[in-house]
Amino acid sequence: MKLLRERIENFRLLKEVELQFSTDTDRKLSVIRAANESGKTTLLTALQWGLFGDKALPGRGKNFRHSPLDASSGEAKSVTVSVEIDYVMSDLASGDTIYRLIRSMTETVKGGDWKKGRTDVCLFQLKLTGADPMPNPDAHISPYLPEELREVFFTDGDRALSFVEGARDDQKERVEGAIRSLLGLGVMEKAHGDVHEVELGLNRKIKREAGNRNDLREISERLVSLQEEIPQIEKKINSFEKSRLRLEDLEQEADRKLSDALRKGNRTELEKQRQTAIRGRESAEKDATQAARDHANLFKSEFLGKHLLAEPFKKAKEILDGLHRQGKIPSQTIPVLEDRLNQPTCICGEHLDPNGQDGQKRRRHIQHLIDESRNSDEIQRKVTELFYSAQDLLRPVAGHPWIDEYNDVQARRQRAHRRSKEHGEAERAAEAKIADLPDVDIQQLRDSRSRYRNQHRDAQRQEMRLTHQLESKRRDVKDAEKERKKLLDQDEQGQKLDAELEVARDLQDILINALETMKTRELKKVSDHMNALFLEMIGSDVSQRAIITRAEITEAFSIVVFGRYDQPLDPSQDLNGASRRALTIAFILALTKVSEVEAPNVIDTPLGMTSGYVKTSILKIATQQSSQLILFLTHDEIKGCEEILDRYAGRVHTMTNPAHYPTILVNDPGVDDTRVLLCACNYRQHCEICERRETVSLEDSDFDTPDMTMEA
Amino acid sequence: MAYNNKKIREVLQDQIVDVPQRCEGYKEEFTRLLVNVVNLERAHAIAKRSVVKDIANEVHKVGMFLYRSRSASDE
Repeated sequence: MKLLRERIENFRLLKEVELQFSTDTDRKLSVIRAANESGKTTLLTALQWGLFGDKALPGRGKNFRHSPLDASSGEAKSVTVSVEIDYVMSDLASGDTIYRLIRSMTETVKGGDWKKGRTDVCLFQLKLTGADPMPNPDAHISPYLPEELREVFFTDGDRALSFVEGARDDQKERVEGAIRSLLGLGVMEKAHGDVHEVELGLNRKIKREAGNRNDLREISERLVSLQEEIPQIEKKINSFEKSRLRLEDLEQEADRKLSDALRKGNRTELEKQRQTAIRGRESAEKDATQAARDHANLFKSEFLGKHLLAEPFKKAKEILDGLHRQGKIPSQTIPVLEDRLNQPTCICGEHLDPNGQDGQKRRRHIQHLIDESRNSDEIQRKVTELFYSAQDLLRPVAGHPWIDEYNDVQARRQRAHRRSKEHGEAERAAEAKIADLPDVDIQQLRDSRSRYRNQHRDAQRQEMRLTHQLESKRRDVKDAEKERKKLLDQDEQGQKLDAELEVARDLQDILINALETMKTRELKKVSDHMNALFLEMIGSDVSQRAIITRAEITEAFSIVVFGRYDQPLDPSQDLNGASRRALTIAFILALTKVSEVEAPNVIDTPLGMTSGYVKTSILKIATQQSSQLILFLTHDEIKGCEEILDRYAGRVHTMTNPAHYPTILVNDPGVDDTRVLLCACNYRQHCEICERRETVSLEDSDFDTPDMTMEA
Repeated sequence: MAYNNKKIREVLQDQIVDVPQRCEGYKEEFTRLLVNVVNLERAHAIAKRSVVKDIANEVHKVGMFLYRSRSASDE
């Protein structure tokens, strides 16, 4: 199925819009360029409403107003809303057949109120001779585009993320739903169940018609009982299998949480680390204080004085030693002279008789010398004192002990500060980790893991027990069937019934094997293809040091991603926005490719959150892998992708919201009502309708430059 | 188209080689039956009515084919 054309009337902002889509196999991309608030989402909604009806609308159409908001007036008024879609179905046998689907409804609007009328849907096969009406349009569409696949083929970049984001059960349910629908697993399972019912019906018939043949009645009864029992056991096995897989996931998740928590730290262990860090910091601070004190004392020490005054001290010593050698130090003059006055003769041998004139003269001279000496005594005393007391001080300093001590104490201080800083950091890190720890403690996480592990093992045991029971019942069925066959072969009617039973049994076997093949081989194909596309989109080179190494879909329908060393990554937490988007688009493309379903992929803003290589790569791969690709892109999404669009885009339309004039649009579109305008401009062009300003003009800013002057 | 018949046929085709040739022409009849069953399931998925009776009729036809073929070969 490929879309050819869509015409929309009065669907909200889309009052009159007609789009053509490319069906060229070489240029299979159609682009609708539109800025934000220019009708992209409305267009996607209108397309889905046209194809699927009200159930495709938000809230399944409840409280959804179809008609334009400005259609209301004071008077009650009827507005006809319609979506017309032309599509082509290709078949090798009958070639291309073109259909036109028209869905319309009337809304009565008055002021802010509206009332829905009846929705009509009609389908025509378009032929050269005219349009032939087709019966039951919804039934015609449904096999090709079932409602459950709507979100696979018609999606927006954000909604598609729900395949890998949100609650894990919801993710799995959505992934499983998409895979089952697209691969046709549901159809096969339903067929298997129905053929089983047919077989059961045949058995009941044999039992009814057994008449007086007790042996045949008994064996039929036994078979009916076994055949009724077997689906119940299968159902239980399925239920336990689901539980087992879910519990396996929960166990793994609990294990991951525990590992994360342990990596972040055990609360008790972290508290120990914090206490050790505190003790280390306190000890280092003590050492630093002591070193600071020693440092200060060093400046008060004799060493520093001797070191700094070495030169003057040397000179002083020379002078004092000189005075000592001259006998001026110590001073002995006064006691010698005073002693002489008590003697009858002088040192020189002359008499000092106080009664004689000469003696008196000499004595006066000695007294005069004593008085003179006394005048210089104070200086003399101090020099003498200095000479003796400064002997140690003036002794030359050996080596440089002060500077050595200075360096030593300085190093001690630095070491203590460094230790203090390191312990402080360790303390803060431990505190931060403790603050970061979830409320649940490690023990609680261990308990959870252990609980899930036990429940998982229990489910596994139950599953195994029931599988064994099922195998045994199936063997019983085979034995009973053999016995029944012998009994049935005894008459013609029995032989006929036996032939039917054989056919039903063959059907059952084929359908079971086909289902198993689809679940394993086909699912693996989807998984492998998704992995290849995803890695190519994000440019992950596994042979190099890629952070993301592979992605896969598990048997339990979970999409999982692995990093280096096969470390599992949680897509909703460990992948960036661009990678998540690439993964979901890779999943959708892989699924549609493997299923060989030929339907258009319509994606609104697929390149949001992406840039550079990943952006262009997603666009290129999505185009190559789709049978028809219709993208709604903003101007920003298009930037950098022009060359790829040059190569693949077969149709381009631009949608413009006139309400953006004059703020964003350059020219007045000349439209008074609220409606989206369409032009044929491609991603490199603009016209009077769609020309827009790309950036906010600072010159036109209403903001004044703030006054930067300050009063002194 | 969704749940592509081609894909389902392809998988079923792989399985059909294992079906025993219970009588001459049985595999061909059986293949037709299988295609009919899948088509009935698809058609009835839209029509919302029980498909068991229709499948039972199809099984009956092939069963009778088998019975007649065996009877003919016995004679």
